[in-house]
Amino acid sequence: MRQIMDDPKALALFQEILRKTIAKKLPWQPTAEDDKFVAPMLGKYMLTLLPYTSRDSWGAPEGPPTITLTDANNNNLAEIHSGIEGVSAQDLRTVLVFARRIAFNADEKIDELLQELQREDEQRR
Amino acid sequence: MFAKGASKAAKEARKAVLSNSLAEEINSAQKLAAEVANLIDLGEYDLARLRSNDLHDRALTIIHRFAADTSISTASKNNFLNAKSQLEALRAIASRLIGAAAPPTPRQISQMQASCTKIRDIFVEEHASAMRRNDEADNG
Repeated sequence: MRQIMDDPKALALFQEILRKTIAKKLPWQPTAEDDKFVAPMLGKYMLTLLPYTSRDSWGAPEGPPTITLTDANNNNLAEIHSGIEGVSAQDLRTVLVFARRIAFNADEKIDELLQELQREDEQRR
Repeated sequence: MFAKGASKAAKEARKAVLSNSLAEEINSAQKLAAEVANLIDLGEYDLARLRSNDLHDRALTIIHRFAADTSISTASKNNFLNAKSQLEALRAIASRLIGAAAPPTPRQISQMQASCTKIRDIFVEEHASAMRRNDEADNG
């Protein structure tokens, strides 16, 4: 059975991260690792978004995304995962999707593609 | 009165030395970043990992040494933190590739190259900012 932990501070942090990420106001950036994104904050903290919770004994990723908050010494200040009361796997996946959009400027690219597809439709009419 | 003036002059001299040393630290980090990028391009992942370690240490030194310096903007401090995190991810990938039987995928190569470009850009940009701050301080 999955253990659910009550961590109001981590939940409050997650809700802000979710809100700001959807609003495209968190500066998520890509890294050399697939789907791992980082966002430096206040010149002293780092948010790291991983696309999985843990790795199995074969090294394969498993579980929904996780977010960690670390300081400049890499001390883990908070860990946000689906085992925290109020943090759902679906919301964590939403953060990952929107973080990817921010990191790769995907909105601009999608808009460009949409315009082109709509233009083609108009030309056919 | 003379003592006060001397103290102020000493403080300003110390600040100038620190500013110069920050620009020098970033300059040497910038050169290391170029070396790491070249090693990744050449597929020399073991050497790239070693040089990434050196560059990570430099980034960490800059972060800690100038953490309390209010003349350095939060954006610059965020940039150094970003470089540090980018290097940690790059090291992890390079370590995995050293032990792997298969060569890296084109996607892995392009992600590593993009990360190297980001790291280089950060140090180039921050070196220019540090030099500009020095110039402004020299010109009063």
